[in-house]
Amino acid sequence: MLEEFLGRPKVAPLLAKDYVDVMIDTDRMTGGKEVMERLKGERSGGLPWMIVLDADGKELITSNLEEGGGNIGAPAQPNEIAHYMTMLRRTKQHLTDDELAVIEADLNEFAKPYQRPARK
Amino acid sequence: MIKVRPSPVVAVLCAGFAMAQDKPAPTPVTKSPQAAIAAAMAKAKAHNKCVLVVFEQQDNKLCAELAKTMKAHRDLSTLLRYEFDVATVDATAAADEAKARDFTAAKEVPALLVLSADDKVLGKFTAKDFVEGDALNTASLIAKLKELKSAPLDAEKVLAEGLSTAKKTNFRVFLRFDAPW
Repeated sequence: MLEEFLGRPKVAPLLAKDYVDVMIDTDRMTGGKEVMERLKGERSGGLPWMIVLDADGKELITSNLEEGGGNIGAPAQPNEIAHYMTMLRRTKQHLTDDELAVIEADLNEFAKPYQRPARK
Repeated sequence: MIKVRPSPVVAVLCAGFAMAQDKPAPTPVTKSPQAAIAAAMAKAKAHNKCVLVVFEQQDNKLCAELAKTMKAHRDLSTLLRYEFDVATVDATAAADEAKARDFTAAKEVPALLVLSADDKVLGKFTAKDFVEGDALNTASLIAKLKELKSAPLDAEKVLAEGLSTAKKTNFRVFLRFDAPW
């Protein structure tokens, strides 16, 4: 699901303005699990797990929520989408607010079929 | 995002099992073999996988069995999901695609062609290679495909390559950890 969203025509060219996209397959790549354990440390969560690094490898933000620490995984629920957008807002260098709004709107549309109904 | 593309490799598949079905379900066959193969190749390139081209014909019982087995057989479906991007094509419509890769035997359906993500032929199999009597030999198919799967990439090297690209371009690295399942 995440891969599909990142490849969408509205989204991919915008993300390419700021980020080098690297995917590590923890099942198929040698040492994939070890790299993830090293970067993730004690934080919770399964796959997908995301982290934004600067060019020196320093952690800028991860897919773990600041409140509660849970991993958003492939963002679908409103709080997960909000955190994903926080990851972009805090680490972007060239993306404009209008471009971020395009990404957010596209993610909201893409995630609709995966969202749980709101609790009453 | 800038995609860091791992170097391509190859893949695996197959097995044997006899399913007595009086009337096989029609198998999904693409109308545009060239487009189907190109799409599979693009995906394979992005994930260090191989392409498996399945040459089929509608209403062929073995083709229907193979299609069903590729989805239902646990080991085979896992192998395909992890190591291959599959393009299913009509053997007649894809005659030019087969000829271009020196695989004229592809008309003896079901036939399988394994390609690297940069369109190098890695393996060619006709029904006689994975059919015994009138049943698929799934174990044999899996063994053949496993021999062709891509060598795994080194995660440390993939990350280092991404960081190096980020340094040159003054970008950030958006790193995702995921798995084929």
